[in-house]
Amino acid sequence: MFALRLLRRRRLRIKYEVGWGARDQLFAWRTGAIVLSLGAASVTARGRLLFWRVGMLFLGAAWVTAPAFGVIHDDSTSISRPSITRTPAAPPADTTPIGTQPFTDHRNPPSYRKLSDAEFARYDLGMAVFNTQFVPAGTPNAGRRAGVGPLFNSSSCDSCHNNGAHGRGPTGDGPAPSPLVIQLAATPTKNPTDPEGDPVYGRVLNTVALDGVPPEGVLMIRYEETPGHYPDGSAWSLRVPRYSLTNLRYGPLSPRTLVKPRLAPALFGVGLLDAAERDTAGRDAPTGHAAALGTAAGDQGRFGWQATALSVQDQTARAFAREMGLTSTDMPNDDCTHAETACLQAPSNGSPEVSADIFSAVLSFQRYLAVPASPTPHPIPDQDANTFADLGCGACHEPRLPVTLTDADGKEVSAVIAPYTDLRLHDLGNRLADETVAGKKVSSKWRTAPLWGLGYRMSLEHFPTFLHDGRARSAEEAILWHDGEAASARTRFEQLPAPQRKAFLRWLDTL
Amino acid sequence: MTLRSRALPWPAVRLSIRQSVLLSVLLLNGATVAAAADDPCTGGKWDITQEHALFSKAPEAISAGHDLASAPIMKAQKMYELALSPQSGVTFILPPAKKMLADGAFAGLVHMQVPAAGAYRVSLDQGFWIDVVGNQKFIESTDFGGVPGCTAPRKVVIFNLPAGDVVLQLSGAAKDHVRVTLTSAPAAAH
Repeated sequence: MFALRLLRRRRLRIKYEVGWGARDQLFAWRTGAIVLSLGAASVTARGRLLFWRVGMLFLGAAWVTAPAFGVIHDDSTSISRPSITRTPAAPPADTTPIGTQPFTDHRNPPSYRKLSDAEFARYDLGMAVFNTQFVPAGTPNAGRRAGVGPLFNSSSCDSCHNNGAHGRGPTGDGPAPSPLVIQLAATPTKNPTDPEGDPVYGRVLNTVALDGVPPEGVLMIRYEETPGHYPDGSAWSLRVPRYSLTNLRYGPLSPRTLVKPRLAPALFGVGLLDAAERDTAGRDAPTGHAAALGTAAGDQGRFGWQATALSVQDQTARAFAREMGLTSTDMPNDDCTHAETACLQAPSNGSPEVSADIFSAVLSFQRYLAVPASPTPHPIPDQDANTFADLGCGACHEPRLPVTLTDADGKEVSAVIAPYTDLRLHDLGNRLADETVAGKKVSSKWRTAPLWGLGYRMSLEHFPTFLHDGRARSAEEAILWHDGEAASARTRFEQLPAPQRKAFLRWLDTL
Repeated sequence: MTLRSRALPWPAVRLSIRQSVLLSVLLLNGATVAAAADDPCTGGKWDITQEHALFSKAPEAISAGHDLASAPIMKAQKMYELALSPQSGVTFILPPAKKMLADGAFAGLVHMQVPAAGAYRVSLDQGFWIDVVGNQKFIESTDFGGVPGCTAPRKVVIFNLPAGDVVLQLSGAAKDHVRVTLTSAPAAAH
C-alpha cells in the first residue's frame, strides 16, 4: 500500500510506479513479482490525473504466463478452455476481456465459456427453471413447478428478465409492466442491505395474487415531459415519472415507508461480476455503504440497483421469495405480513418450495450466462472510447475488472472482464432519489450500472428503457439524468459538439 | 432543469364500499403519487381495445390438437377457448423454443388462418409460452407485452405472419383451458 510516483512535466508525464494498484497487487501476490508500470498521464480539465498504462515490467518473477483464461475468440460460439497447471496469474492489462458471446438464438442464451458435461446439465436445467411458469401449490401433478404466490408479481423469472435481458420498462402512461416492481423499505433501518418492509405490505408491493387472496394494489404511471437543450441549442426532453399506487387492499402505506420503483436488470454476466475481485485497496470506499454491512470484512453488496444484495445467490433468493412467492432454504418466508391473513392462510408447497437442487441449478444458469456481444461493429474503435474516458464516465463505469474464475476442470484462473462498472455506489443526485411516503428523499446512491450488452439491447428492443425505473428512453436520456457525483461528466457530455456527441452515443451501442 | 413536482390534477376517485377507502398519496422521485382507480387493462403498452372487446364476448370452445393432425382451425378477429391436453401427451411440430419444466403442464396445437401477410397479435388470458411455426420453422415474435392484474388479455405477443396457415403451439400452461385471439396489429402501434 505504498506508491512511489515520480512525475515529470506537467501535461504529459512518465509515471514510474512501484505498483500497488489492486490488480498489480494481485499479480505480485500470486507471482512474487514486483510490478513496474510504465505509462502516460495527463491532467483533465477538472485537474484530475488520468493514467494510461502502456507497459509493465515484472521484476523478480520466475515466469509470466500467457493469459490463462482471457481468451480467445475463435469461430465457435464458445471460448476455448485453457489447460491450467499452476496457480493462476493475473492477466496483463491488455488481455482480451472474456465474457461475451454472440447470441444467435436469444431464447437459448449461451454460457460465457465452454462447460463440462456436468456443468452444462446444471446450466440447462437452470435455464429451464428460469423459463418455467410456476403454478399454485396444490395444482395436480405440478411437481417442481408448484408453489408460486399467494402474493407475487410474476410467476416466472423469465417474464421479467426475458431471456436474461433487462426488463421491458414502461412505454408510456398507464399500468406498470411486470418487470417494474415497487420495493418497500422501512425507514430508518438498522439493516441497510435488507431493510424491513412496510409493516402491512412487506418488502414488495405484490400486484398479483392467487384466487382467494387479494392483490396488494396496482401500480400506475404517468409521465411529465421536462424539456431542455444542449449548449449548442439542440433540444432534449426527459420524462419525469409520477407513480400512483391504487387499490391498496390494506389501507395506506406507512408514511415512513420508502417507495422504490425498480426495473428488472439484465442478468448477463452476473456470474462474472460475482467473481470480480473484492478488493478495496486504492479505490474509493462505496459511499456510506460497506461500513453499514454486517458482513465479513471486505465483503460488500454488488447486486441490485443499490448493491444491497451480496451475491447472485442472495439476489435470487430474494426475488424468488418476494416477487414470486417461492420460498427457498436461503429465504424460508415469502412476503406475507401479519396483516395479510388470507396470504398467511393460503396453501403452501412445503418448505422450501424451491428445492435446493432447483435453486442451485438457477444459480448455475446465471453464473455461466454470457454477455451478448454487440451486433454493431464500430468503425473507429478508439476515438469514442477516448471520449468515454475524457468525459469521466470511466471513473465509475470502469471498463475493465479482474476476475478469478474456475475453468471446466475446476482450476482457478484469472481473467479480465469488460463490464463498464466499478460495482460501487455513487451519489447521482436528488433527481433520482427514492422518497418515503411522507416525501423524504432517501438513498440517492446507485451502483454503477454495467454497460456491457448495450448494443445487443439496442438491436433487440423496440423501446429500450434505462435507469432503475426505466424513465430514460435512451442512453442519452440516462446520461442527462446523471447528477451528483456524475454532474461534471454529464456537463462535459452536454458540451460536446453535436457530431461528437452523436458519435459517442453510437459508440455506446458497440458495448 | 427543475424536476421537483407539483401536485397533479388527478381526478377525484370514488372507490367501492368493498374496496373501502384505500388511498395513499406518496411522494417519490420528485413525483406525486396519488391514488386512482384505473382499469389495469387500459392505457398499457399498446392500444388493445379490439382485443379487450373480443375478450368480453363469449368464446367459441374448441379442443386444441394433441398433434398437428388433430389441430383445429382458428380464425382471426374471433375469440376461442381452447381445451388443452397434458403436455406429456402432446407431439409438437418443433419442441418449444424455450426450455422449461413441464411437470403437470398443459399444451396443444391449433392452426391459425392468416388472411393476409402482416403483423398480428396473439393474445392469451394467461401468461405462458407460445410458439408460432410456419414451414417447419419458428416464426420469431417481434414484441410482447402484458399487464399484471389484467386477464383480458394477460399476454400479447406480436408476430409478422405470412398469409395462409401457420400453427400456434401452446406449452407450459398451468390450466387446461385458455382463451386466445388472433388479431391484426395496427400498423403504427404494434
